[in-house]
Amino acid sequence: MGQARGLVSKALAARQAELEAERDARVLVEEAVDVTLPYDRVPAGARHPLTTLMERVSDVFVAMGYEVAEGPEVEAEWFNFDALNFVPDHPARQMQDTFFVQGPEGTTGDESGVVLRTHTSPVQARTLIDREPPVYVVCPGRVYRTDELDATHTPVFHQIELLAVDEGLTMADLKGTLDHMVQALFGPDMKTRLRPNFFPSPSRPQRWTCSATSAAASPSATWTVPAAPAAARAGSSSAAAEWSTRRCSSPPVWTPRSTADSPSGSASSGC
Amino acid sequence: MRVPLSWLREYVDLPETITGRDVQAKLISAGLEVETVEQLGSGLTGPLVVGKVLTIEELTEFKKPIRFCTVDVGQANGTGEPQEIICGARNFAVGDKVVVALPGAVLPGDFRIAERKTYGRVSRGMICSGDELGMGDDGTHGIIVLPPEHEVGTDATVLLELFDEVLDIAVTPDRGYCLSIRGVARETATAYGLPLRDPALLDVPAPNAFGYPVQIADPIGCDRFTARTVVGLDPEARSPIWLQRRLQKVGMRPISLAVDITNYVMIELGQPLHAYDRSRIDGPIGVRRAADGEKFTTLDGTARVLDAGDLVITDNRGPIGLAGVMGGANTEIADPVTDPETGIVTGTTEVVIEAAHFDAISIARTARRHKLSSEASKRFERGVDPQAAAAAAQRTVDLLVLLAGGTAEAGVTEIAAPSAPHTITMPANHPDKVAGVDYGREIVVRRLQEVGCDVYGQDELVVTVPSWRPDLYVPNDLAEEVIRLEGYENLPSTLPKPPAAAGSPSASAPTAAWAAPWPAPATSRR
Repeated sequence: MGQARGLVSKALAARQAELEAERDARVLVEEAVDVTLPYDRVPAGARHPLTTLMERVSDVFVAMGYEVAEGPEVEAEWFNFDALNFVPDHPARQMQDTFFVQGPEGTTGDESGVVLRTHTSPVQARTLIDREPPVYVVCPGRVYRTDELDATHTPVFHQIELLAVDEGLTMADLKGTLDHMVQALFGPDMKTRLRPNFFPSPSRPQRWTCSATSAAASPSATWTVPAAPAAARAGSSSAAAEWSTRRCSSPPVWTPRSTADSPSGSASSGC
Repeated sequence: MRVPLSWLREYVDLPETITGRDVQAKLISAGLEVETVEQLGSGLTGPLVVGKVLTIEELTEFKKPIRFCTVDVGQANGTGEPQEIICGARNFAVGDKVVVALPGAVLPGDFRIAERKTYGRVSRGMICSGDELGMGDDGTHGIIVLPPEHEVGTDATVLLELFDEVLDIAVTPDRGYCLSIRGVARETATAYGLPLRDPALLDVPAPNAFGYPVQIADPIGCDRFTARTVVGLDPEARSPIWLQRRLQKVGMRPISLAVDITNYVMIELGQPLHAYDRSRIDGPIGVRRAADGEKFTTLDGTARVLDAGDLVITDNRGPIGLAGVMGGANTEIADPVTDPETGIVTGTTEVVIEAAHFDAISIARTARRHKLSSEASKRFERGVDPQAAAAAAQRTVDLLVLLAGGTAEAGVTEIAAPSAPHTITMPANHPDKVAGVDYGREIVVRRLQEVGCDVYGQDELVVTVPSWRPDLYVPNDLAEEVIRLEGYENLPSTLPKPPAAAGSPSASAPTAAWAAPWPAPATSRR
């Protein structure tokens, strides 16, 4: 029995090898490519979708009268956290969420005082130090968090944040601004929905999430925009919205957030 | 936070036609992130009845031991004859009451019960375990053995409350009060404009000098401590089905009656509680900071080395609890033990109940330091209603008396650091200005009252915030509450008019100023 089986498998293997060799020989002939021929296409190259998208969003705001503000990606911990009211014990500061960079005096780890910015919010702080209200800026940029790379997380992602400080600004203004942005980007049919969420951020510990859906065109497309509230300070108000491209791949759907330990909406599982 | 709709209905008279999805939509628009509505009992149809095991025949000729049972199911099978059922589980005996799925029943997972031939016999139904009924973890994974008082033939789907809807809410850290049925019920009542029956409104006896002695060495870390004593507990008493089921529905495992009751009251009122076996405490209960390097074993069996920042509960011998996080193995409620010769059950018969209020930051640090997040620490970190401690202790006492046959001792210990309620002064039109909507004073006052605030004044409102809302601190917080309850969807959409600006790339393009000397970050961390 065993011998017979041996014979059969031997024959089978031999025949298989034979057939494969035959196929390889044929493929070499049939699929030969003359690499010396001139090719008829120049690879065009293209802008990265994220770059395009960020510029499109920035354009929307520039058209509304906002300025584009930028800041360094290697950021002082003070600007990244302290200036935004993150308490010293806030979990987001810990090394499990933040990349710390070697400091000017050679200090390392979470003692260095220098981080890769975890959000674009330090640009808000820098802007407010630099200039007097009224301020209308939009801050696009690359940000870093120590997340494991998976389908919905990446250690490097992009945010666009808007900051408006002026007298008499209201929540209705924030809503209108987000409505306008969403419709300018995705078409006039888009509807937005505001939802409250909690962030321990600049003005007051609450932000709103705005999700936009188009009832007509693509009901499954939902974009979420965590946004900070209008908060009155000494007669003027500030409104900040933050927008992240983090998990906006294939049809972006509403996902629950647990933002306890995250400096912004996009941190734990935002958008 | 998992919230069974049936439990919610106890405090809010929702119309019968309201479903979990309706409540979900209402709560979402009020700003609570209700992630899912779980339909308990979906895919389950009867007949599912209570049966009494009459005979057990052990079949030994198979690979594993198999039992051929006859079970009295009353008239539920139409004949009144005992039902013959094959069963592979062994945690039941003749005379036990069990749950029987009769032929025709469908269990979750499209598991159809029918008469079938197996192990050489005909099995006419199934004796069920909690897992098979989709009930959640009961700690045994065996057959459900019901208390003896339930009559044969009773519909077990009703008895075990198998049909329900459970809202799962992702509670943000600022809304700690929603980590209780009480808090979610308040939001639900507001959302539907219905009155709330506040479960924390209980008659509580005044504190006196005869309670269990408590000494607080750190009144900042622990600003409130209520201790009550219940004696004469029946160590054999088990948690009734309704109590077990509610715990299972919120995702907790029933353990023993005293522990189940403290968990139940925590879920109901949001106040974490701890029950100590009084016979195992030596001397007065104390609250102090731990000594650096002090050793302590929590009731999960882990030996821990404490830090000087940890708050501990102590007796004369040393720590008996990691305050607000987890109790100690040394004073844990004992599991009932039956003496095999006399049949006498021994276990905890006297408990001291702790309902305390601890500093949120201290608890958060301890929980993080020891990588020990518990249901209690989760709540203290987010802020527990300090005014609910006495009521929660009372509720626990009441349930121990009712369900474990205990007697409440007259002594009531209550130590509370003096505190004034927080008041916020705000122009009555402030929410209007923040929102860009003319709500008017009347709506603002009504909404703030629904949140639980006391409101006085005309143009300038003096608002006293409720004890369970430590997150309400400045006028903008109150404005948020008004806007939230009036509905974000009702905000108008307007555009601000920025001044003519320089437009794109601003003055803040990369400059040397970016590298200017940086302020040092705050250092008092960890």
